[in-house]
Amino acid sequence: MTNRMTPPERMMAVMTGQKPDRVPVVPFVLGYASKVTGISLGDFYADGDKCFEAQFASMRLHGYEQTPMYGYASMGAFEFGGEIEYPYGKGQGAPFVKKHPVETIEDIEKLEVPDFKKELPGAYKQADRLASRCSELGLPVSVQVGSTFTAASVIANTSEFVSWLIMEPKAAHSLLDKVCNMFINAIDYFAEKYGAENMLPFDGGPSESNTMISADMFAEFAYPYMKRIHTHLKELGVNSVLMHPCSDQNKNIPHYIKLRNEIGWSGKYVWLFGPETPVKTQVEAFGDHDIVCGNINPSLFITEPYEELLEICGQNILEGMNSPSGFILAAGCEFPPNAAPIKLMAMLDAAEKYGRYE
Amino acid sequence: MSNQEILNKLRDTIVTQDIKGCEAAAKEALEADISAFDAINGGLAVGMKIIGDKYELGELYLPHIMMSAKAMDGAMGILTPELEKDKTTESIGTAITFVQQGDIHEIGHRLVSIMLSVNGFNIVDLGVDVPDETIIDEIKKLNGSKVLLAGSALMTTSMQGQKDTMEAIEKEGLRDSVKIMFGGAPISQKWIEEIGADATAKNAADAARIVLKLMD
Repeated sequence: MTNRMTPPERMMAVMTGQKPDRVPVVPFVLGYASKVTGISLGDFYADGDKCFEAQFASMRLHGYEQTPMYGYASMGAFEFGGEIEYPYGKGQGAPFVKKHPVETIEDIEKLEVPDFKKELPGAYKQADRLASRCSELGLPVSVQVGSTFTAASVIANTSEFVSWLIMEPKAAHSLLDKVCNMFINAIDYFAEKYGAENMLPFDGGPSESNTMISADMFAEFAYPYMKRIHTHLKELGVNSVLMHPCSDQNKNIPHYIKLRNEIGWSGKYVWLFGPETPVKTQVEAFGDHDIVCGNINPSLFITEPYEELLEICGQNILEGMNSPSGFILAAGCEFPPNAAPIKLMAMLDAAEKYGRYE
Repeated sequence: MSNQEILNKLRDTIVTQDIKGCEAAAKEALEADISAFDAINGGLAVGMKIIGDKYELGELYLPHIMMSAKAMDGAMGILTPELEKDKTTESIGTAITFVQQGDIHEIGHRLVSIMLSVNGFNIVDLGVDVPDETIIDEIKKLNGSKVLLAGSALMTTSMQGQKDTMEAIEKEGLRDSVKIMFGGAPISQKWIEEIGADATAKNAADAARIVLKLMD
């Protein structure tokens, strides 16, 4: 092949089960992009247009395959009437909760599910701005649709919420149910406005990791809501979902495997696990149907030099590039906002050096 | 009931996350003339260490630890006033615990504070989002005693602030008066070496084990 694929062609190839010219790279860039256009991290999250422009510029500058998306780990609290703060201060990496809308069990009853038919709640206004910019350019519309469990864990005081799993399971379910309904409302809004077939929803979060809860707790408190959301996505005609089981979720993998069968899904999942999950494990679990992503430990982009990263990424690629339904090189969680650009270049160079299919 | 049986009850109420039972056992211990110090060290701390070990082995998870911590808090509310009366006991040292500036992830930090406490440290808990100036002031206040600095960061952005903290400690000439441990998801041994700290740990139970050696 003499003519190389463009990033959209490369991504389209892997998403449709074709072989691209090389392994695509989705570096999981969010806050890092703010440096590209010279805006603050706070503005990046507070303004959906700036968020789009920064990510679009970073995408063009580096030539990777990731398209812009809006979201952060503590999404949910603002949407349910809590207060968040944007990351303008030293050390801050993403919006964070200043006031939880739920402090006590009594607060759950009073909690109203955001209605997307009126004014868009919280940060979904910014997500909508970014989505409209993506839609104008024919890029996939990526919107956060979970995880319900992680969102519930930040809507409530996190320490209290995890105690309720044991002490007050009914209350925990009541909260989870309302959070799930919010995500269903979000899905309906974005699907109606941009078309379900154009969506690439993002689902995932760290609070259901096995550093926090057991696989049994995942089965009881996380899985049923994930299943409801994914059933709804399927019914609307969404074709693919980006899944990010964040941190160590090795013990939850059997539940993620059964999701496809239980909802009768024939679309495509893109699995982006944390660095704790070996690529080989992911290929065995999902490779027959889904796209598996590499998962470079994000802190390595801070501590390791370019040459070392090139080899680390190369190893990751070699482990996954022959996965039957496709492979994408990615960071195992958000690419560090303050990493040097050459560290991101190492991912692209590794894809060229080790990830060619031609 | 013998004193040992009461201590075992304290231990078991922690292990089984029995919040009310733990408070009752603390009262029972004082009524039986068991010192607050012995009730903590021979009962509550033993229970928390068991919980820590079970967490490390993947037999228990965060909700259980938070419940055990609640049980311990309840008992400590009863025992601490008695402890204040008896200042003769010597601790391993003082641990200044905190979450790095810009970071509000408190759960790991809380667990480390608990595990260090049950392993004999006095705890000065500075909370979350702590600037370097506050840390420096606290080290200065404790100058001369055995001091451990135990900081956590859950994001790469806050992790990078640990380097600034190390430089600030060096600049103030305090490096030799404090042992420094950093933990959290993005922290690696390589990072610890790069910034010149003393240790890291993979979880709270591991942290307690490592600092006991560090403070030797």
